[in-house]
Amino acid sequence: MKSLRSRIMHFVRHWHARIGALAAVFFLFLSISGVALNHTDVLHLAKTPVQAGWLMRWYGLKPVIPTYGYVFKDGYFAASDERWVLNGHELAAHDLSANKQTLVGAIAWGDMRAIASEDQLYLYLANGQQVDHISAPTLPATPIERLGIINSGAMPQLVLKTAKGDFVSEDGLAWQPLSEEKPSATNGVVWASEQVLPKSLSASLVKSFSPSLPLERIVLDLHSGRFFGSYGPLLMDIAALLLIILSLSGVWIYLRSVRRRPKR
Amino acid sequence: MIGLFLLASIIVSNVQAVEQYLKPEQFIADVFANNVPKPEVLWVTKDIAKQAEKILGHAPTQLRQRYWSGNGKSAWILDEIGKEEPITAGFVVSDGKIEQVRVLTYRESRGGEVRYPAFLKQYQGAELQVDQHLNRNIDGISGATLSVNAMNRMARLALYFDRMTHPEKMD
Repeated sequence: MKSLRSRIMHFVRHWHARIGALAAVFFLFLSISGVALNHTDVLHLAKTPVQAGWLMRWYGLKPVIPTYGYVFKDGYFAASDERWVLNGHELAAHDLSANKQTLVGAIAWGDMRAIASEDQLYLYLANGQQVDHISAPTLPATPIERLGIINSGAMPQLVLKTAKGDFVSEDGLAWQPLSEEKPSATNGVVWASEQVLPKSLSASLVKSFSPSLPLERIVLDLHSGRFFGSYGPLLMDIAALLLIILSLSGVWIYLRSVRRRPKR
Repeated sequence: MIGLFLLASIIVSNVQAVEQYLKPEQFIADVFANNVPKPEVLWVTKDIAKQAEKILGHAPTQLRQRYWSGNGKSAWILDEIGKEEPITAGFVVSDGKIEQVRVLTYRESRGGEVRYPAFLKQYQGAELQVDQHLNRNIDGISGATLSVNAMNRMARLALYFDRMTHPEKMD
């Protein structure tokens, strides 16, 4: 018959091992995600977008596919609250989110695609490469009301309609009042106009406008437990409780084994 | 419910202070004492982009860089990401040396101390070495390391771009 002490020892060892195995899952996960978050720059976590549909639904993010946009001969431009997309390329430029409410228009201008908000003019190549971003000191007047183009001359000219009049430029830098430049040209302006995006673009639009989150956000939420909503903190409490039990039982086992070791 | 909770956490974490300290047009007007020259353009050719990439650690964002030149100096307005958001800063270069630096817009929540004159005056007189680094050490600010690094990269880029506008001075 085993003594009470040895039965208690057996019980503690038994449960120490079981809780240890269970807690290991938590701690491995917390350690790995913690190390990853410590080296977020090296691992490019912030710059790695995750688009998995089920994950976005879990976060409550729904795709917002624009139905209206600007169609060019060889592509399109469409904008949502989240992003601007030119021919399937998400446009990388800061202040876009601030400009989303004030998008004025987009138009093909020679090799470039000009996109205007009320106080900014962006120039891109068809592949989404930014050529220039022109703001107040170089614009003739703001707010921009309409964006247009005159294709009649040798060089296509960009036209901005503002409250102070219409201005025309060959390079986006030097602007002339349109009426002084060519009094008869006012009628030759083709203004950018929003139109229904054709169905043929829907595959490209769905791909471009599906919601995404940086991997850093997901790892951070998993690490903190927020990923599991209101149950997250509870889960982390359980993990902490397991660690407390492990620590106490570990210390107890250690002390018992030290005492039982025969003295030399 | 969980989705809303997570969404709220995203929104809260994305709140940041955008502070515009000086409008770009005001910076240019100050530099040229209200006698603002017409903007000029430096096309970022493949060779220039290669060097710019070495300085920035990433490809330059624009193919066309505007600048203002007159009275023996050039003024550049550049953007560079500190941690997550771009800092917009104005640089005045004269005779291959930095004459003045101003932070125009700061968008990160922390590290905005880089706008203080006590920090920025360190750049005055800085030149670009052959290895495309500044010829002096810029003392950092604790807690604003990434913003300081971004300012250093922009200062180097402004000096390099200025050099590219003077092909006769290039060895």
